[in-house]
Amino acid sequence: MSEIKVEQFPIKLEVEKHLKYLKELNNHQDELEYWLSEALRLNGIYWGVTATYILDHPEIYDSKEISKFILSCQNEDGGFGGCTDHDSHLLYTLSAIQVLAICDTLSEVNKDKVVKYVAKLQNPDGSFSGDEWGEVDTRFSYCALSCLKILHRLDAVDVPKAVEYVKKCMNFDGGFGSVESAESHSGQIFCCVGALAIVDRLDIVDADKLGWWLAERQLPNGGLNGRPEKLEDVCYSWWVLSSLSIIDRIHWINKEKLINFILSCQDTETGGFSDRQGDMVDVFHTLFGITGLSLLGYPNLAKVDPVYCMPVSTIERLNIKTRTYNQI
Amino acid sequence: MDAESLYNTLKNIIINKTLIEVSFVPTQGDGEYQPFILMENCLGIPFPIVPKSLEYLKKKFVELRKDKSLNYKEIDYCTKCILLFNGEYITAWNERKNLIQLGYIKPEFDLQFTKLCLTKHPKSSNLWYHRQWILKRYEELINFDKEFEIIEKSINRYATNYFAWNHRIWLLNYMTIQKLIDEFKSTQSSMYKHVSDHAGWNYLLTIFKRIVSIYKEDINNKNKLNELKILWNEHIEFVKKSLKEFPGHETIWYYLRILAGFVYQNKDIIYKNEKEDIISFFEKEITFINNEYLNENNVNILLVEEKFALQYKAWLYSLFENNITKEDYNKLLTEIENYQCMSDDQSLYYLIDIIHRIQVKV
Repeated sequence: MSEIKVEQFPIKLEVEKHLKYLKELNNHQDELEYWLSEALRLNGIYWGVTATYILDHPEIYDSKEISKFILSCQNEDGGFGGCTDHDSHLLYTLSAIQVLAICDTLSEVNKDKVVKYVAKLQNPDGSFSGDEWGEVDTRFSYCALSCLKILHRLDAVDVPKAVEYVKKCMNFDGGFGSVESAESHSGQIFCCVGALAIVDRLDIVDADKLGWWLAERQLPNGGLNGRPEKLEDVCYSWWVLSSLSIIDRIHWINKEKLINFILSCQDTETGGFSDRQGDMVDVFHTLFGITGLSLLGYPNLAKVDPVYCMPVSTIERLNIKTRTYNQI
Repeated sequence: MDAESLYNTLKNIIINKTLIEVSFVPTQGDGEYQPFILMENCLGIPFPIVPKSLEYLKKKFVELRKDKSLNYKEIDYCTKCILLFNGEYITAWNERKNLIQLGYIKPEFDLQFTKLCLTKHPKSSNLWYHRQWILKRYEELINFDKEFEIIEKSINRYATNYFAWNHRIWLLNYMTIQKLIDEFKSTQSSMYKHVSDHAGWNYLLTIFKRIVSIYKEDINNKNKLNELKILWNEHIEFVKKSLKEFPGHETIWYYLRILAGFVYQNKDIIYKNEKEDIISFFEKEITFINNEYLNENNVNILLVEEKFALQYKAWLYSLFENNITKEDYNKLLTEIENYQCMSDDQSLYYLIDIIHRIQVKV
């Protein structure tokens, strides 16, 4: 496939601006968004840290400070809360482990405790609850399996049962939903396909059928939506694209049009990406804009792994690579 | 006003008023409950007070949790205030579940409270789960009409609301066969309100799946099978009618695909009692597409509908692989190429790729 060049596109990636935006994220403690997102601070840190690594400037954050904060969110039960003094949940436990893995500070955490917490959340049908209160969702299957794989402890859960549950959530369109019979949704598809890739069970997936559904997510303006008849959104550049990459169908997307769309969602003044042009930027869409571009082969970005949504360099250091995925 | 006074004011409102709606507002009020705005039991929380209030509430909550048994009443108020600001504050929901289990909060109360919070946070999965958690434990509190009303309102606030539709799917677990059939028919007749909502179509299929799985248990009962066949025939007619009434909707074409997939998988029950078999379904569908959408003489068809029809046709071909000849595939490829020429839309590349791959197999 032809190489992507910066000059091909009317707008360029504003790396400096994005770095500035990411660096200043923690300086807005008097603002609404800062407090409304407090309960999911660890997700935010994961989004920010990963973005700086893909932009190839991890030095803008103090990884020691970050690791220290992450560790302060671990609870007695071994899991991590969304912030200090929050209850444990798989969504934040995975973010915590990912950030520690990326910053290479995993040795500082009591791994056995984490593994015990995660393993305890598997249900008899193979599904995972997000926390002790029992909500089930295929997102949590992904969180559990990714977390355990990073810790090299998949042996702690019943993997065939976990696969069986994910399979139950597959729909007639080849996609996956959050629970059995729930509508196919690109975010859930990423979680299910990612979970299956982690345990090397992609044979469950009908790649042509699923790829067909995913390819149809591209809209005439180049952006991708998450479900039929919904608006395009930068985050689906990640959920859809990474899934297509994992099942080897990424060439079914028009890459130039998608790159153009992602670049148009940058705020070229303040830095950061929004869901679509003209909206408010946030760190979530900033990460997925940047990882989308990385997966599309945009120049001067570090490579991202489509299964783990972490830098390929981290995955190689951890030695948990499932295989090499084709970029476009 | 300092954060503690704000908390006490909000607490007063919660104690004295039966709120029915909550939202953030740009301006501060100057009435009895200032800076909050209260109009006909609708609460407006001014944006500027949110950061300092949440900072204070978190500190207070952490303090209160240190010695829970002394502070149940206050934890009840504090979590309520937190959740009115932020429905995603999962630790506050957890603490409320805890208080319900201990008998300090009546489950009925939190059904009301989640209903209120949903007016501000219709997409919060934690909120929907809290409701589900209560209803699972206190099944006697399940009232379909009440649930449907809340779901409907949340869908109106935010269309294609994934969590609201999932809640509706979950409720199917508590329905008898007659209730399921009624729900199927009433959803069908109200689909016009949610035509572009794929989650709604998926919901229709889910009800039908449940109905079929119940009929399956009684597979030798001819009357039952006839009932099912009538239901199915009416349904497929309804979908075709919807295609005509709402042209250009991708969702309905997507629905046809999952419906075809389901019917194919369950052909032994849906097409058991008749001379015509599942192939007759396939043939009818192909004839329908060819006559209505891929017919050169039919000038009223939108280009985008031609595209959806081609996608559906290819879908049926992949489903009924064994009944398709090389010539059929070649003809379909020509149709796709013609469409691409006419429309200047090259996005069907993946479909051509798939057909080529199937052709090699054939």
